[in-house]
Amino acid sequence: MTGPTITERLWARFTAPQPLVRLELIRILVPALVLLFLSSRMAHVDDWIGTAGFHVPDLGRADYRQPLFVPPLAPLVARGLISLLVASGLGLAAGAWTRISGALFTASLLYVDLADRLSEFTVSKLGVVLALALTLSPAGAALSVDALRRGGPAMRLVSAGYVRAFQLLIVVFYLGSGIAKWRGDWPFGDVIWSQIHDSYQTVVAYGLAKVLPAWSWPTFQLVTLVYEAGAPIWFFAPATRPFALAYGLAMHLMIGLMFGPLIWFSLLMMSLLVACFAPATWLEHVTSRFARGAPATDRSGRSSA
Amino acid sequence: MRGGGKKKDLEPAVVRGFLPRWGEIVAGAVGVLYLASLVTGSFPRSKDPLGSHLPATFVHFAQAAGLFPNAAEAIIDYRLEVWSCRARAFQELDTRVYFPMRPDDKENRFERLGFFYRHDAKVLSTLDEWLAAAHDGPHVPDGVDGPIGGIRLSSLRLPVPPHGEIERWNPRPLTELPASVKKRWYETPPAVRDQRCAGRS
Repeated sequence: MTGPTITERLWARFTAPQPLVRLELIRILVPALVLLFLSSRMAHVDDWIGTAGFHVPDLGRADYRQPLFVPPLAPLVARGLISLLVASGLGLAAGAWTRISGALFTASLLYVDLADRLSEFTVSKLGVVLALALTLSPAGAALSVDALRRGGPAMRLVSAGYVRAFQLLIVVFYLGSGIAKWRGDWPFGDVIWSQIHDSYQTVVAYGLAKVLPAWSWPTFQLVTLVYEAGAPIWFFAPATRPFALAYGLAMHLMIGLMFGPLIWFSLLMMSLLVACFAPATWLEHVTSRFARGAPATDRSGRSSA
Repeated sequence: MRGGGKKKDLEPAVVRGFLPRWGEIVAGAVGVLYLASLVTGSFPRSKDPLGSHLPATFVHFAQAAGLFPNAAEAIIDYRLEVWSCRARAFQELDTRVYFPMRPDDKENRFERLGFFYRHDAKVLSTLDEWLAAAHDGPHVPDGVDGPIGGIRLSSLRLPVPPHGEIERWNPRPLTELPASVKKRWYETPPAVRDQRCAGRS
């Protein structure tokens, strides 16, 4: 009688229940960060999605910049929609009536994304996808208002797919980014140096440009290229996963510090990295300090990425 | 603790999704398609094997991963001048008055408008009409007094300095910059300018 094959063992590991704390942290952090990213738009809601501002007309053709024409709204309606966006986003983050909050947050975020392509960025695009995935998941089972309302024993595991989907999203996102960089100028061009001179420039970027030697910029590029294109390997192998997590956090920290407005993208990616790949025992330990009803800390090392 | 009878009780409870089985399968299939699109969306649009077979809105949300793939050939900054009916000349407009979100960086809507639509006559003529009307309405000072007859959209193409040489980003007025760094994209036809300015100054 033979034991399970490597493929069977890997599949069993892949489909084994996952720490619920990962899903709940994504549910808390993602809507909060998306709302913070959008806050500078919300301050000018009438210009953003209302009729007071300039809006690109209906192009009347299939166009990557306008996949679907969504008209601007009357001022009162625009403010109502933004109120709904904020309330539902906060509701999702708090885990209050999570499915309803998630559905409303997804729908309102989708509307504002499509209504104004000019102010749409990766955070808002990914935000829609992440919000939809959270809405369809059982997020809110712990660390939430819903968990407090329901009472009962604290849950600590969730069906694998609801965590694996987010982990795969990150890895595939990096892979796509790595491919785009490989096909672009990252192997031999001067990408990072060329991008730190315009309005994205921060005092950190300026200071580093003053002190770092010329060879450091292509070195950063190559390391980042290897990291992103190889993400499926680095995050899959347990031996390299901690290093992949650490490098990802450092990379996004530097992006946020060097390219001002990209701070929200960096924080979103850092949050996803931590929630998806940091040791679950650490996450459970930290969250159990903040909330009753948190998944109990399990020191058996059951966590698996 | 041992004993097979107790084993099931000791297994931790697992939170399950609320979707029915078929719903999970559909959501999973759409998720796999999205992940595949995230990768193929990083290819040039003409070489994306999935993009042309999927709804445009779906593809739009999948084209998210290809950030900064190329080196900048120049430092780009979009600028707008308007035709002053009073001065009978183009004068630089403070676009932040009309595009107030994120006024000082590339995430500003006017900068994005230039980036996405500098070639699009329909969008730029709509901007032309909208701005002429908006300037006639109440607004905070935008650098140009009196009615306007049209617009002129340009981009600055400032050279990327060599390694070791860097300046703090500090946008300078168009009048201080040489013509060699200005690229013009759109200008209101003179006949339209004259028509809008007729009898107004």
